[in-house]
Amino acid sequence: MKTSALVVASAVATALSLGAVSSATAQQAKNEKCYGIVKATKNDCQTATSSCAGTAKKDAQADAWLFVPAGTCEKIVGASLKPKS
Amino acid sequence: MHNLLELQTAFAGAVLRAPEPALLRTIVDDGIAAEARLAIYRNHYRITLEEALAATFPVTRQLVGSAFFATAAERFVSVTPPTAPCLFEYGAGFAAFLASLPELASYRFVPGVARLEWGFNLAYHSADHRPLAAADFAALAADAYAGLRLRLAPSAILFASRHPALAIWQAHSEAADVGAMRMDGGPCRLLLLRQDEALGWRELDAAELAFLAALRRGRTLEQAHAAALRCEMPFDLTAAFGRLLAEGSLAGIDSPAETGGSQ
Repeated sequence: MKTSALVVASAVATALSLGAVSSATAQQAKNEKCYGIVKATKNDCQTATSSCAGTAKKDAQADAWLFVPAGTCEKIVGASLKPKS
Repeated sequence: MHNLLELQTAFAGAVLRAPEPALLRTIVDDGIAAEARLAIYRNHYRITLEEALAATFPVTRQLVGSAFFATAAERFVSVTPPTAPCLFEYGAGFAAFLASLPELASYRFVPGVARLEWGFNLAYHSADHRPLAAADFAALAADAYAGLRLRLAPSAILFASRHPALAIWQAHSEAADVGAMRMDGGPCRLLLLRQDEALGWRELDAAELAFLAALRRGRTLEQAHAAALRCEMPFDLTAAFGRLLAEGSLAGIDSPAETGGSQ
């Protein structure tokens, strides 16, 4: 067995014997739909299947939404996580 | 007169360019002219694909502005018909298209961010896998390790850019304050990975990127290790291998143990 193969075998064997080490992957921030605060014609659509973006007729239309970082919506006056009827 | 295949082909052609006169003659006017009826399909096709691009490349769109993005998307859509039925699969060539635009010649980081967004899109929609665990290696002899070909998870996407693409992307897509940012802040090397429903990433140095890229190309562990060492910087195989196991970015072992390791 070549030296390089021995080095690899020993490194992998060590890693396997150490068991689970902590992994540090960052996670993407979650976004959510925020209703009732959109300026007319500025609504998002954020799906690849619909063609409704930019169609809100009036300011703060209850069923028009923006995509915002999770947690932001509940801090905004008049905003709602659900469409308002 | 058309048979069905001719009719479908002519209709598909009319969505991409001006319709053939023969096709127009087969369409019943009924209040709206045949040409105008076809224009509805043409518009819907164009707008749907442009919006699919905007949904897949939101940060790129912010970087160049919605007006320029719309123009670029329109040009891309006009020369790039979709090759798959799902809209999330549309846009594979968009970053390269942006890189070819003379208007963006002094904004070289923009195509890099677009490539990163495409990488997220690929990782997010990739097939599920069962992550390899240490127990999967239990049946293998240690002298076989060097010859193993490890398969990276379908959602494990290697990304490299000369520009700080991740920092730019984070500054535009997250609530977190990333502080002052320099567009010339140096290269960016990442492993993107979907873990269950969450997209994750971690930064790599050049050696670990070379190691993972070699695994992705189907090289043996020994060859991948050699590729990492050629970067002439410290590389800790034990730590790198441990991270792959812990985060679940290995999906399989392609080389049977019985054949032995090194050759």
